[in-house]
Amino acid sequence: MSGWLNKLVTAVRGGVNEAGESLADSQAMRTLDQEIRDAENELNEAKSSLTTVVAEQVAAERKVKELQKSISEHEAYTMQALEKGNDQLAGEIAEKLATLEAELAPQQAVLESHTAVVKQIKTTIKDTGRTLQALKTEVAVEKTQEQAHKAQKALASRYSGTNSAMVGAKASLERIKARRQKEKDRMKAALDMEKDEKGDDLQAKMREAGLIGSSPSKNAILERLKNKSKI
Amino acid sequence: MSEQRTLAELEVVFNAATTESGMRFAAEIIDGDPQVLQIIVDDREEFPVYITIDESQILCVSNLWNTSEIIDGRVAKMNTMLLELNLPIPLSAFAITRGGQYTIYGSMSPSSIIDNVIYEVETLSDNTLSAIDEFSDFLQ
Repeated sequence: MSGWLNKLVTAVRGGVNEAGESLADSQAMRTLDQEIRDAENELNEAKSSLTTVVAEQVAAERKVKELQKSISEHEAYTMQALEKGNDQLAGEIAEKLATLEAELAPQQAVLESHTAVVKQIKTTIKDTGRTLQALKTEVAVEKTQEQAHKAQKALASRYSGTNSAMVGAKASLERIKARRQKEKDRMKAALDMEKDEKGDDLQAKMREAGLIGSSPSKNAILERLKNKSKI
Repeated sequence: MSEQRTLAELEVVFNAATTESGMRFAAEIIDGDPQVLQIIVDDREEFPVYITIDESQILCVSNLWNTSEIIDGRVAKMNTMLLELNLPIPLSAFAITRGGQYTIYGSMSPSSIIDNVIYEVETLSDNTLSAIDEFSDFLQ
C-alpha cells in the first residue's frame, strides 16, 4: 500500500496553529517545510538509485540476449553437424551449448530481480512525488490563505469604511442582496418614469374616466355575435 | 509542453473581460510569498477570488466563512452536507484551512486556456454566493 496520503495526514495534523501566531513562523509551517525537505531527499535518492539499477538492468538484458543468440546459433551448428553425420563435432558443440545454457539461467534471474527493483523504485518515486506535491500544495494554500485574509481585511475597510475585522459571510451576503434589490428598485423607478413620459399612465387614466373607449372585452364580443345570430 | 499561464497575464485579461452573463472583474496582483492575484467580481466585492499559480496548478480560492461564525452544535451536520455537495457542485470543491477558514476552490492545469480560467472564476463566484445562501441557517 502506498503511504503518501498517510504521510500527508500526519503532516497536516502535526502542527495546529496557535491563535494569533503568524503562519509563516508557525510550528505547523516548520513541520511542513521539514516534511518537504525529507520528501525531496527521498525523491533524489530514489532517482539516483534508479539510474544505477536501470544501468545494471540494461547490462543484464544485453548479457541475456547475447547468450540467447549464442545458444540459438550453436543449436543450428549442432543440427548441421548431425546432418553431415559428424557426430563427434555435434557432441562437442552440444557440450558448449550446455555451458551457455548454464550461464543463461542465473543471468535471467539477475535480470528478473533488477526488473522488479526498477518497478519498486519507480513506485517509490511516484509516491514520494505525490507526497511532495501534496505538501507543497498544502503550504501554498496556507500561505495564499494568509495573503488572501490580509487582502480581504484591507478590502473590507476600503469598502465599508470601517477598520473592524471582517464582517461575517452571512452579513456580507445580505449586503450584496440589499444592494441588488436597491439596483432593481432604481431600475424599476427609471422604467416607471419612462412610461410616464410616454403617456402610458395618462392613457390609462383617461380610459378609466371613460374619456376614451376601452378595448372590447371577450364578453362584449360574444354578446355582439349572439345578437348577430338572432337576426 | 504548452504555455503556462502567469498572474501578470491573468491580471490584464481579467481587467478587460466581460463574461457572457455580463460579469466584469477588477484584478490586482498582491505581492508577497506567494504572489496572489485578487479578483473582485463586479457587484460582489465582499467575496473576492484569489488565484495563485505554481508548477502543478492554477489554484482559485474564495473564502466562505470561519468556524467561529458557525452556530454552536451545527458544525458536524454542516460538514457532512458540504461533503455531500462536493461532487454535484460544478467545478468547485470545499475545504477548511488551518485557521478554521471554510473555502471553496477550484484547481486547474497551469496551461489551461484563458477562457477556462475566466469561466472557473465566474463559476466559483456564483458557487460562493450560493453556498453562503444555502448554509446561512448554520451561520450566526
